[in-house]
Parts: sequence; structure tokens; C-alpha cells
Amino acid sequence: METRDLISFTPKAVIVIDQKKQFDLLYLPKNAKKYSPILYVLRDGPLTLKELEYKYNTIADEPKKKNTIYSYVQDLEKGGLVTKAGQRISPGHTFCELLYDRTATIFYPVLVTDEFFKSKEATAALEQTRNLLSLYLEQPAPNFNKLKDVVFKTYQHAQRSVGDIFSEHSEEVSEITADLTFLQLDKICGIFETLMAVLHFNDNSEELLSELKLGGKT
Amino acid sequence: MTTKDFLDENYKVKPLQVIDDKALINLLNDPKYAPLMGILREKPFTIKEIRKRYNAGRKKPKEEVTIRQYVKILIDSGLIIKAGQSMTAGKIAAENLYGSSARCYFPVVLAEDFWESGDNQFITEKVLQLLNLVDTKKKPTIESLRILLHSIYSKTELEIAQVFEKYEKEIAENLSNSPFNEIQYISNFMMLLVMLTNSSIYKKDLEDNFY
Repeated sequence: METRDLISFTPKAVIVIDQKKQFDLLYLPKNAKKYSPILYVLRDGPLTLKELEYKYNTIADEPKKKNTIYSYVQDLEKGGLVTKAGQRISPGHTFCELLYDRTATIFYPVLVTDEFFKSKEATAALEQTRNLLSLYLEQPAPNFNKLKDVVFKTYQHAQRSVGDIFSEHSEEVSEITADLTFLQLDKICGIFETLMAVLHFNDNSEELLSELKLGGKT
Repeated sequence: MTTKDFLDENYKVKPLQVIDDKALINLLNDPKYAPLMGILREKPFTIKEIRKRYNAGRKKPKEEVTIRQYVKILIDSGLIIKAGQSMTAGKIAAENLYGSSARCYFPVVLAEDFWESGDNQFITEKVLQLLNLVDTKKKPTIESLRILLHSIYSKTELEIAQVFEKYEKEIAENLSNSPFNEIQYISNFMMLLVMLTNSSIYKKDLEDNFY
């Protein structure tokens, strides 16, 4: 039986996540576990609650009941990450099912918080990076906290620069990024962020390197 | 229905694998194969299990034959290996389990024309359009952006890959139980820091074309 969708919402290409509340919804580990499967399955377009439930349970670690998933959707809706995007009707019925969608293809975070660098994985990764860096440069490993500081500040700076461009030129940005797939947009944001970091290094590399007590390469 | 997975003794996942073959990098970036590799990060799965997860985020679900075909291509390229069998109580036929060869892949782009090929050309153009919104004194051209991207990514990636390869044993030992996230963070942090130590190399390029 063929269903018909009435779509009344077009998601933005990028939404800059600069409020703590939204950031926490996306990135706090306890929240990511609950909400990320919903945001993941919505990457490809709007779904009804029934479809969400089915798809959620094929990828989530713990299966959830429809009511629980509905409450997650409501949390995400309150946080501005998900919205009602339209309705679906089956021939012969007069009752419509609601369709939900992400408010944007990409949620771009500009709030890399200290919290992130406290997580077990980030701390372990930083420790390993310290050792690898020392092997690579054949110099003593930099101080852990100094390294954390430099990495943290660089990310923060690069993300702010990208976030500012996305916010200040939101119309041009949505024109440039219209019709891109999630993977393409994700890659573009990554490259753009890297370029912003390199521009930042160009002005500050000596200071940052001396903070780490490392000699740069010439 | 009780199902139990038996992994082959010689199935070992490397924590990190350097990929410098252009065809393999393209496979890892291909929208058809990338989700499949993402699924296998968790653990080895059967074709049916892979298909269920693969179709979860997708408007047009893929048939089992298609998934089988994708898996075969990835096996031929060495990114996926047969990892064992999954047996179900009461069923005579067991199903093969497929696992990825590494938990995290570190791509090294060596080809000069990488940023001009296929999807990358399109992506570079989009990045240039975004870059034009940035308040820099000079407006870079597509050619200068390509050169910069090549020098940033290839040089940095190559140097990191050399470290990864030189200290392969230590890394395999240190990271044998590390989750994907952690290994991914290490790659990202290393990229950032090696770019920092190399920054004097890009200085002229940046000043000529971007400032």
C-alpha cells in the first residue's frame, strides 16, 4: 500500500552548536548513548515514530520501547535538534502519522569543553600522543597539561572560526552546501577546520611550541 | 533461539592500519562501503546482521546479495577478513562472521592528483567557496588551495604514518584494547601537533596565497 508524505520542513545544512544545552544533548556520553541512534537514522530523511522505533532498535545497544523513543524524540525536539517535518497518510485512512527530521544535516560544535578532555578516552589518547610525539621529534615528551592546553586551545580556536563563518554568513553557507550528503558535508567541515587551525598556527606557532618546550622543524 | 559466535584463533584486529593505496582510500571514503566499515568497528558480524545495521540509516534498503557483493569487494581488498562462524542452536548451517582488518585506519594521501579526482574535486571547490567567506587579505585560487591541501595532508600524514610504522609493535601492544574513539583521537591529535611543528614549511605558501 503506497503511502503519501506531506513534507513541510527543509533541514538546514549546518547548525552551529554553541549552547551548552544542545552540546550536552549531543556529546555527554550518557546522552549520546540515548540520542545518537535517533540522529543517525534520521540522516537520510524524515521518519515516522514507528520507523524510528524499528531502525533505532536495529542499531542501538539496548532495545527501547516506542514510548521511550518518543520521549527521546521529545527531548531532542525541545533541544532544537529534531523537529516535526510533516505527515504521512495511507490510502483509505484519514489519520496521519507525524514525520520527524533533524533540524540540520550537520550539527557543528563550537564548544569543545574541558569536559571532553576529562573523558577516559581523550585522556588516554593524549597520553599516547605525548609518547608518539616524543618518538617522532626525538625530543623529551611535553608536559601532559601543557599539551592538553595547546590541543584544547587550537581546537577551540579553529571551531570558533568555522562557527563564526557559519553563523555570520548562514545564507551563503546554506547556498554553498545545498544538496550535499552527510559524508560530503562532514568532510568539508573537517577540511575547513584544519585550514583554520593551520592559519592559526601561522601566527602563533613559535609561542605554542615554546610552551610545549619543543623545537619546530625547519 | 541461542546463537553463539566462534572467532577464529588467527583472527586478530590491528588497532591501527596505515593505508596509502589510493584505491583503498577511495574504498574507505566511498559512501557505499564507508558505513559497512563503520559497522564492523564494533565486532565481527554475519551478512544478515551487517545488512540489518546497514539499512537502519537508509531510505532505500539494500538487498542481501548487494551487501554480500560489497563484503566480497572489501575482502578482496584486504579490509575485511573472515573472522569465524556464528552458530544457532538447532540449525545445521552456520554463518560466516566477517570482521575488519583494523579498528582504525589512517589514510595517507600520496597521489598528487588526489584533490582533483572524483568527489574530492567537488569537495575542494566547496571548501574554496567557504574559504572565500573568511576575511583573508588575498583570495586563494583553486590551484593554490589544492597545493596547500596536498602539502598539509600528504606531508603530515606521511610523517605520522612513518612513526606509526616504525613503532608498530609498541603501538599494537599499547593500543590492543583501546576503543575506536581513542585511536581516532590519537590520529587527530597527532595530525594537529605535527602540523604545528611543521608550520614553518607552509608559512610562505600561506603568505603568498592567503594573506
